[in-house]
Amino acid sequence: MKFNYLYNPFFLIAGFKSFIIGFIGLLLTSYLAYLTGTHFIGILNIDFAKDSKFCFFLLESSSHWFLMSTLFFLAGTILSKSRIRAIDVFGTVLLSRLPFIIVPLIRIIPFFQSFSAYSTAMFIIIGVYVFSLIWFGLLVFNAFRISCNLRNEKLIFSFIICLILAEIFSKLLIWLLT
Amino acid sequence: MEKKLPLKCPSCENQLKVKLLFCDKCETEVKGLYTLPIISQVSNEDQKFIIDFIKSSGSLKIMAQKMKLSYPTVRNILDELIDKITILETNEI
Repeated sequence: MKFNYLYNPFFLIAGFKSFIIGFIGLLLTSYLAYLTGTHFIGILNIDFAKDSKFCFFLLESSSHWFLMSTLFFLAGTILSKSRIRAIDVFGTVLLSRLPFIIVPLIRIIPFFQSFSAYSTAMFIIIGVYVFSLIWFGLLVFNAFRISCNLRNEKLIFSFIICLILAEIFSKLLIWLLT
Repeated sequence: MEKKLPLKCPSCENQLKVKLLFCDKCETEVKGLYTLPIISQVSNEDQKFIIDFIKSSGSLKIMAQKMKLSYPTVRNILDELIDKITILETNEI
């Protein structure tokens, strides 16, 4: 059985183990985001401002994870023939968020802490963010595929719909809370 | 070298059946036309999975530990196997 650990570790890790690793990652990402003022609004928006408490940064990351996992779980329950477990869906999606640690981690370096528009630092940050977004995309796709055992059209369409809905709902939630 | 039981006809790809059984002790031959049991019609890898699954008392958790794979991966292998067996059963009817 051939698989790549970097974009599909879920052949080996799922359930509670992935939940614990993912949860530690989420706490670290949120803390680094708080220290560097990196806001993740949904997954497609990134903003830089040291204007909130730690719990708000934690809420930004965890709300998207929770909404996306809930939607995946619902889609899996409706569309999959397998008996899926919530811990697998929530755990693997949480682990998939690990690439989001890269941007706040890089922003600890003084060169990336404050920068002007169209500066080298800004373009590097955008590049790194796009890279982590693609990595996250691959991870979360495999998390959904394996934890819900979906294939072909069912997998592709439900994945895209859940992704869009999670993005809309998480933005709405953040907007309501601010 | 371990011999592999051929399941499909090399000429037309049809499912093979048993026509001759042979006792290698007294050299008795039994001729007839028998369909292979469904378990024999799946691949060696799938047969090994079925045996290991029975030995694990049907526990996917134990299977996952033995195979060093995640729980949903093992469950997906099992569901795939159920689909294969269902198709074979439908074809037999």
